[in-house]
Parts: sequence; C-alpha cells; structure tokens
Amino acid sequence: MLGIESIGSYLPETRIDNHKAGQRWDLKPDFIESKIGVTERLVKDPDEETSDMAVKAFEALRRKTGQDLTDIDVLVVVTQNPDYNIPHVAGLVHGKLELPQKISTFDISLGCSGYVYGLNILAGFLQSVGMTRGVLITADPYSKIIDAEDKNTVLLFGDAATATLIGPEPIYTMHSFAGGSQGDLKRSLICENDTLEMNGRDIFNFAATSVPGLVGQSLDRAGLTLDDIDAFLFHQGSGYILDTLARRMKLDSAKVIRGLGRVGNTVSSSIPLLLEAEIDYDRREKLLLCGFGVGLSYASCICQRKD
Amino acid sequence: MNLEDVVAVIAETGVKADMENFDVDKTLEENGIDSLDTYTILLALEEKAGVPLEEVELEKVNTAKLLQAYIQKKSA
Repeated sequence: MLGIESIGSYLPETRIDNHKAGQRWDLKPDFIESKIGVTERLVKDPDEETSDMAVKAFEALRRKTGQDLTDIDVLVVVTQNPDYNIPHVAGLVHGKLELPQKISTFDISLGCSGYVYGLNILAGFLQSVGMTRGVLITADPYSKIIDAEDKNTVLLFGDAATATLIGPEPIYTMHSFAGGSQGDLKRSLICENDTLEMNGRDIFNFAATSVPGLVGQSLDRAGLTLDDIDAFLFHQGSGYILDTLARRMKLDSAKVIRGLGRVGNTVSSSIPLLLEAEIDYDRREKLLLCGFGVGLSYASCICQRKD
Repeated sequence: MNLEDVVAVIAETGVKADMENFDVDKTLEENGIDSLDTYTILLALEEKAGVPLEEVELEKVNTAKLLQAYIQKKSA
C-alpha cells in the first residue's frame, strides 16, 4: 500500500515580528499571541519565485531521504500562486531540477485544503496507473498577493514550501477521506487584481460549523471515535480557529497540534509542516488531517503509522 | 429570545469579558469583547435562536440590546 515515506520543507529566512507590525493598529500582545496566534511570520525574498521555493523543498526531501529522487514517477505541485499562469509550476520545478523526462508533472489548484486532496489524488493516481513513487509539493506564497495595509491578512499568512514522498514503504498510510465544498462562499477568500481579500467572519463560521461534521465523516468511515485519534493536524488557519475547533468538538487541546506561532498560516503547507514533525520526532500512531479554506473547500483523512 | 437570553448566550460562550458588569446598551467592543470573540457570539446566537445573522451589520447592530431586537424582528 502506498503512503507517506518522508517530508522535507523549506522555510524562508526572513521573519517579520508581528508585535512590531501590529503596533500600527494598536493591537495588544495578547491578541496577537492568542487570537491571531502568530508572533512571527515567514516571508520569502521578493525575487524568489514559487518554483524556487518548491525546488528548495524538494532538495530538503533529497537530503532527508538520502535519495536523489530521480526515480519518481510523478511530481505534483499544490499552489494558487504560480510563477506564471502558463506553464504549470510542477513543470518549472522539473526543469530547474533537471529531472528525467519520464516523470509526469501537474499542478493542483487548491488552497488550505490542498494538502489533504493532494495526498489522496497522488496516491490514488499512482495506484490507478500502476506506478509507485511520487512527490507532492506545496508552495503557495501569499506574500505575493497580501495587501500590506490589510491587518486581517498581513499579520496572518506566512510563506513556506514542503515536499512529501509518496511510495511503497510508508511511515504513514492515508484512509477514510472525506471532503466537500461551499462554492457559494467563494468571495469569502478571493484574490482579485492580484490582491487577497478575506471575510474573516465567513471563514470563521465555515470552519466552526463545517469541520466538526467533516471530521465525523472520516471517523465514521474508519470506525473510530475522537478519542481514538492521537493528534489532530488541522490547517493552521489562526490560533482562534484552532481554539474554536477544540472547544466545539470538545477535544483535548493537547491533541490539537499548533505550529503557526513562528511561521504563520502557510496555506497548503501548514499540515505537512506538522506532519513532518510527526514523522521525524513525535511518531504518534493515529493522526487526523483536516484542511479547510479557499473555495470554500475542505477535506480530511486519517493517517495511520506503520512502523 | 429575550434580552436575558442574549446575555446568557454571550456568557456561555466563555469569551473574555466582565459579565458581572456587562452593559446591554454598550457595544460589545465597549464591553471588552474583541472582533474575533464577536464572531463566536454571533454564531452562538444564530445557533441558539435559529435565525441567520450573516447579514447583521456589526457597525450598527453592536450591542446586546440591538442584537436582541434584530433577532426578535427576524423571528417574527
């Protein structure tokens, strides 16, 4: 059975201090720390492109696995902030890494739900066509589209990229996928004229009311209960959303993993950044992954440790 | 839903506010409730009253009393 063998990541070096940045709006430290949940956020260099970040994540995966990964069958990039409209970022990454011609490439256009969809799309694709190894990259730098004057978004989002190796010797396997959409709320998180606009209340309501039911669907499909899950790897939308989900679902807050404090909301990279730590250090057995956001779109699945 | 119910729902959400000195005529912000906790309160009121509050203009309907009047009007 195919699953997740390893994850590598790339975090830009530039960190912005949200306490300093928040002074212009007179935001209290407690609001930044406990409500936004982001004290520092990562920002890529202005001349660094999405494909450059993706290449760095791929190279991190190479270092971690000790493999050159030229034997993979498929390379996928999840992004909505590509270098160009045409061609796709995965093709650019393929070119920059000088990968063999036999490797298929394609992009997936999704935001915060993109990693959960991407994992299941890539694993399903590999299995359906009789292939065994692929890399899923997430790289969606919102600094390209953030309005620096918009306190609702500028203090929240961070830039990062991850690369996940899917293969036949997994550390985690995925099962019990559940997903859905609310396309009528598309304007709640939208980029027009190269500028991101977010209706925070719509996103909050969507997450608070939709995620618990979605998680329930994955658990039902697996024949599990909330108590069976060792850690909840929710999309790191904000500290407040994570607290709200924990409260509404009556979860042990220690099981709701937080990783946005010194990074920011890194869109489709937020879940794999948490999962990378599970693979390398924390090693918990049953994880529930749930992404939600742009679209509005949501998806969840369960990851089971195999070693 | 009467005014006491509205205040009770606000208290039940557990948002950070001095509920003993809560003033139904003051805005939620003046009662020490921040913008994100306001989202929680509106969602709790919506679920309790069974009335959609998506269209509430928070600049205008921003006190417990005004929220109660809005819910009553929508429930009628």
